[in-house]
Amino acid sequence: MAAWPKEPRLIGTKVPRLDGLAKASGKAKYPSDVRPEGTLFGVVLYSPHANATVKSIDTAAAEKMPGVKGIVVIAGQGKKLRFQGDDIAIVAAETEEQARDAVRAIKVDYEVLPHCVTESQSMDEKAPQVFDGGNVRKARAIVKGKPEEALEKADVVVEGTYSLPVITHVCLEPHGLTAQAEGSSKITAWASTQAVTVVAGELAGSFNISPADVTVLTEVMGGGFGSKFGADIWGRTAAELSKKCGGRPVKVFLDRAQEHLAAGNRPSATGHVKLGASKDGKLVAMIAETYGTGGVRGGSNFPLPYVYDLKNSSRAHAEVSVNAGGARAMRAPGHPQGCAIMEAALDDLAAKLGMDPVEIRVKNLAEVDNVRGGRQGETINRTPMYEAQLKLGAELIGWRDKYKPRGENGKGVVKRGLGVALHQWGGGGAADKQVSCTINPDGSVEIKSATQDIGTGARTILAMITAEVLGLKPTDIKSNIGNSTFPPGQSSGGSTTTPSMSPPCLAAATQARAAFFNKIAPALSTDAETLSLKDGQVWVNGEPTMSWKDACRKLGMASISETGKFADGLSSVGVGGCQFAEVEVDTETGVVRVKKIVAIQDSGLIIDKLTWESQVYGGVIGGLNYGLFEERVMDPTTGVMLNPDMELYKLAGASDIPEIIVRAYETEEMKNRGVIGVGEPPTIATAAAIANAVANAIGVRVPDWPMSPRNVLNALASKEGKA
Amino acid sequence: MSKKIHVSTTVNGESVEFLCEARQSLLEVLRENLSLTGAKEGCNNGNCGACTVMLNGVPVNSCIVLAVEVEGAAIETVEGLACHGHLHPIQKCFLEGAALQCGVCTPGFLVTAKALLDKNPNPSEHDIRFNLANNLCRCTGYDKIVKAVQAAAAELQTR
Ligand code: FES
Ligand code: FES
Repeated sequence: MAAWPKEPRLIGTKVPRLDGLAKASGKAKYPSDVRPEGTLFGVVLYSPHANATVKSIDTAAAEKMPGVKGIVVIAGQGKKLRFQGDDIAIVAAETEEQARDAVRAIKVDYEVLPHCVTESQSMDEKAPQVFDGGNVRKARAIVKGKPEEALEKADVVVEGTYSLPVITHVCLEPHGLTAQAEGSSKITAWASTQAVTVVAGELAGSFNISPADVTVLTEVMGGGFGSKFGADIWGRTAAELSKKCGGRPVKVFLDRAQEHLAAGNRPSATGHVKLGASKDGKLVAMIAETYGTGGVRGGSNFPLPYVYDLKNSSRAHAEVSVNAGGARAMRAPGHPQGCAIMEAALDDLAAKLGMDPVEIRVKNLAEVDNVRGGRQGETINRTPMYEAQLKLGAELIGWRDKYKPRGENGKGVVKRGLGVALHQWGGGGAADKQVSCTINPDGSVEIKSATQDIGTGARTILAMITAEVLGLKPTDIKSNIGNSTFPPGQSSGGSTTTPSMSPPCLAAATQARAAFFNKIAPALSTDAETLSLKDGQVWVNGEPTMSWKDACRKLGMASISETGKFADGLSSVGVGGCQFAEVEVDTETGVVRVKKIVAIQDSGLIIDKLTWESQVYGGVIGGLNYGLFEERVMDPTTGVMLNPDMELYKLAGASDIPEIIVRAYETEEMKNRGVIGVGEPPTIATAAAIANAVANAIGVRVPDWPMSPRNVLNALASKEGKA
Repeated sequence: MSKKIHVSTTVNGESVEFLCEARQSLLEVLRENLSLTGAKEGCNNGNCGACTVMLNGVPVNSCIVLAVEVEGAAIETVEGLACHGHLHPIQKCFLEGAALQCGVCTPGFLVTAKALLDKNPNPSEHDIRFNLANNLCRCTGYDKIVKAVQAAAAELQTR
């Protein structure tokens, strides 16, 4: 049965990423850097209005402009444009400037319609309809036990409304691709994507050809966070333009404004919550009415209740449509919202009871919270794990010495506070992925799969596993991914890449090793069973006998190539984690500074400690951004986004970063579960922990994220009755 | 079409001449005319730092510098940091210290850090954070970037 090595040399160590050299020298070619001979530049014309119909569109003048080679109209006469940023047309020209000039020369006559761009605008009875059938779709409440009755009997009840705004992905490399069509039968595309196979399928679909005739290449790419799974309308149009322009490559990448407007966002979330408990802090019931907007696309639902044991609960969610760009998956979809609302309400309850926030959390973990163990059918209880994580985290933040009850953080203007939050995530693997491993007579080793490295370290992890099995160094392995024509590989999303790709990689390398032993044993006058590999040597009966390179020469002309498949017992699903935050709040200016974050995370067996740690740091900073800065601001009057850039859309910089302590919760029991993904979980609890720390510091809940000066000062004013 | 303008300059120590339109940015000319794609376009608006290059030793956002402004100037890009195939200590420390993930922001950080260390070989942590504040990164969380610059400063001191 497949198993991870008991005493690994490489797995679990810190290995720098293999593509780091190319990236640090500026030589790495990102999809937005690739410019094949003859490339034309595509520029998108998009809607300046939140809601409009195209009365007429005239491209005649634009077609005649210098350098223009082709124009494709996406939204022709009579088409509805439902948000600012909605695509209208794409121009391909010899230079970017020429394409921009031509875009400006396209004449569009709009019938501008009334819009609603905020939830409150949209929920108004007289609001214009975003789609026929109403702006608010309310789902029936999901009820467990008898929440109303239980709440009546609760010793203490808190009631509050908490809300998180829409935020956008802000990948540093914009969305886009360069497409080159060979007639109508073949396409090559260099795409900034999280899923080469999905993009290939989409382009194949739009040309009505087989995905095998499409090659999508993503050697490296500049971030996706859930927003870059498809070719998108602009990518499909680039391919169409390439065909129209006689096969010249066409490059279409969005500008930063359209990134914010049209390339995805995380839905907003508002929750009106009643939470009740008995005197000892044991939760008895929760009733929550929530809503959120995913713009024109929906998808605003999120998990609630979250993490904690509630025998009685009722939850009703309403999906609100607005005239704004559609939501896309964003790093742990739904979880940061559910976590923030649950953890805020629980913290408010603890404050009302005068209970310690860590204690109330331990008290409300389910007795049994089983997730999958190492093999099908095995389980593991997450509750003792959460308890151990909370204990460790509390020690590292200095909870015992520093924690003071809410509002008792001194008389000074600047107040310190501590907060904590728990999270959970899946992160399991898909069972239908493959990796091939080839050993060549010159000693080189290549692995291939149609997955990609979006900055996570996937390429390095596959090389480490192969090197582990073959007794080589990770740098000896050519880890060839980011090509849709390779054996089927996993999309980079849902923290599923490593658990999907590691098992077939181990299988491929193990099979290749077995085939290699069979081939070279006769040349070494021995049996295959006597052979092993270590330190770049072939060992016979435990003695180093021949270098790897010399042994490979014995393969003659024929390479060995094996394809590995998924096997049970090497990866698992279901993680928890906890984070603590320490903040300082200036009660005069409302400015929050995070001083320290502690992040404890389990994720089964860790392959590369270095890239694992990087993922957790990055997740925490994502969470800090959601906690303190990020917010899409829409103007109800004009219907446009007021901050579609990287200046007024705030993101943390190097000087906003606190001390961050990252710890892996990696016990033997955890290691035995096999590989689990870590991209998403560490970004969930940060914004919740920060908000709880702010409430602890200033003595009043700031119910609206982000913890910006405006929201903090509003909360302080309401406390003093000035709101 | 507007008339092209002739510009002569030095890029990474070599004299370079190019023809550009008056409205073209330095970033665009580097990437499109000179095929130096190390500097990246993150925002094209002066806000993210991904396009940072050195102009006469000073770090600038090349997306908001007009190409015609660099007549006679010395430009240094990320491609010029490594010397005869040897990584600059800043590059080495970024690589070994895992200070990069997707890496699109990395060239901007490297150039900004180089400019800082050229001027101030012994910066405090605060100096580093302050000087890197114009460079945004969505992946790493900055911590390892700051540590990498500190490590590079230490290594350069021992030379
Ligand atoms: S691309 Fe120049 S600052 Fe962002
Ligand atoms: S490493 Fe991806 S933006 Fe910095």
